[in-house]
Amino acid sequence: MECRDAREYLSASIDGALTPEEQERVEGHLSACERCSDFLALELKTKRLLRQRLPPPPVPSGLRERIVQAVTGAEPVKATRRWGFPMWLLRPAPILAIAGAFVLLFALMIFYAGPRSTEASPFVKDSVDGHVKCLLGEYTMEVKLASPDELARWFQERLRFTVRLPQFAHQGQTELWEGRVSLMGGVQSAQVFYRWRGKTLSLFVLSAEKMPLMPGEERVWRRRTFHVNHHRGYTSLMWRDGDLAYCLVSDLTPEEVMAFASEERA
Amino acid sequence: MTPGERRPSEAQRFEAVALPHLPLLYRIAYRLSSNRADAEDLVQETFLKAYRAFHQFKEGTNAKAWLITILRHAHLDQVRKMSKEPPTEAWDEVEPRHVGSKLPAEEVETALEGSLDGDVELALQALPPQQKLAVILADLEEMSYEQIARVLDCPVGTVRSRLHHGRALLRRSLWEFAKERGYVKS
Repeated sequence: MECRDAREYLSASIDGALTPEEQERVEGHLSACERCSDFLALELKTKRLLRQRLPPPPVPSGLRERIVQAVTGAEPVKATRRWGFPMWLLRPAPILAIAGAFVLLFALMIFYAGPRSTEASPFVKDSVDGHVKCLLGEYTMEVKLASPDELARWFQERLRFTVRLPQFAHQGQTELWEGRVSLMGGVQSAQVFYRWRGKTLSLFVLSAEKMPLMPGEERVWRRRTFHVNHHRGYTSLMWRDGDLAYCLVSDLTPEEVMAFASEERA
Repeated sequence: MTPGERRPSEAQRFEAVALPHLPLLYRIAYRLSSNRADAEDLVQETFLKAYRAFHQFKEGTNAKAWLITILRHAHLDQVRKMSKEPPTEAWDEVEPRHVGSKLPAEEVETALEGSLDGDVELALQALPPQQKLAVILADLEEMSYEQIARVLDCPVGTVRSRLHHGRALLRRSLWEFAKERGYVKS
């Protein structure tokens, strides 16, 4: 047995993964080869070092509950990042952001307490409600997946139409794509979070035939026809693409949302 | 209103079969992704994927290996997405024939002894995903080569070679860190 062949078996010998014959051959080589003895010692040290220096991390509190909730489907997935309490929140900038969020929450409470608009189309009303309740944590996203394609497939299993998720040219990077099945005007739709300029926008996708008349003021922006709606201080922007109707909700101005929605990646 | 809702009994069955492996899966995920947030996401995704595929799981077979396999795929997806590189095979089978052998044994020993916890962590992170997982399963979780082969879906001989190369690469990284810090000359 040559050193080169012996090394792999020496590696395995410290894991007790050799047959008695292999072990015997390796020991035969070892007794005659000092360099391989050195190697064996290093290999053992490496294994011990890993165990000593990388102790097992404890399971974070609440993770088990989140998994059970996600799995039983009784409660949709709680996103660990969004609703958990990560330590970076303790830095000054997030604290300011949290303060801002409370101001927003307060403003929303005033909206909710104020007289309710009866004019808004149920599609507009539900889209804004769905968006706001997700931001406030009253509704939670059901899944977080690694890619828009995976998310589209997830919807495919749950909805009676094929969801195409647009890739906007300026959308922010997102590690995980979050989505849920929601109801808009009594119609099943796919709700997905997009990020832009540090804000979260909700995109609703539904079958266009379910919304023959799109509510809102018609405006054309970069050759795309949008329908602009306002409800409770939010912009609900709708447009059609083939057999699908899209609705993007955020607290941005209609111009901002149109600029965002009109440019898709090639 | 959640379409695709299952009978509670199935969720309970899943809980009983899969959930006891949560600490193990979290330990592996934590070492693979090296931070808590990514590890939590990875574990959560693993359990969701496992639940969706639970009908394929045969009662009485090895739930541990089944779950780690799902975690491995979920992690590779993550890595692929983040690196935007071609699939892992190309850089998995790095053959560092000379990686360990040419290093002076004494210096490597000094490097191992003087290494900081963070160095070991970094050296592990630097391994190609399949070698990293082999090292985690063998050295941290003390799983047998047969079990690891099942999880990695490869022959036992491949496990042996991945571990051999993985440990050699680890030592090279630690030796390089030691050189940078100046407690090993070369």
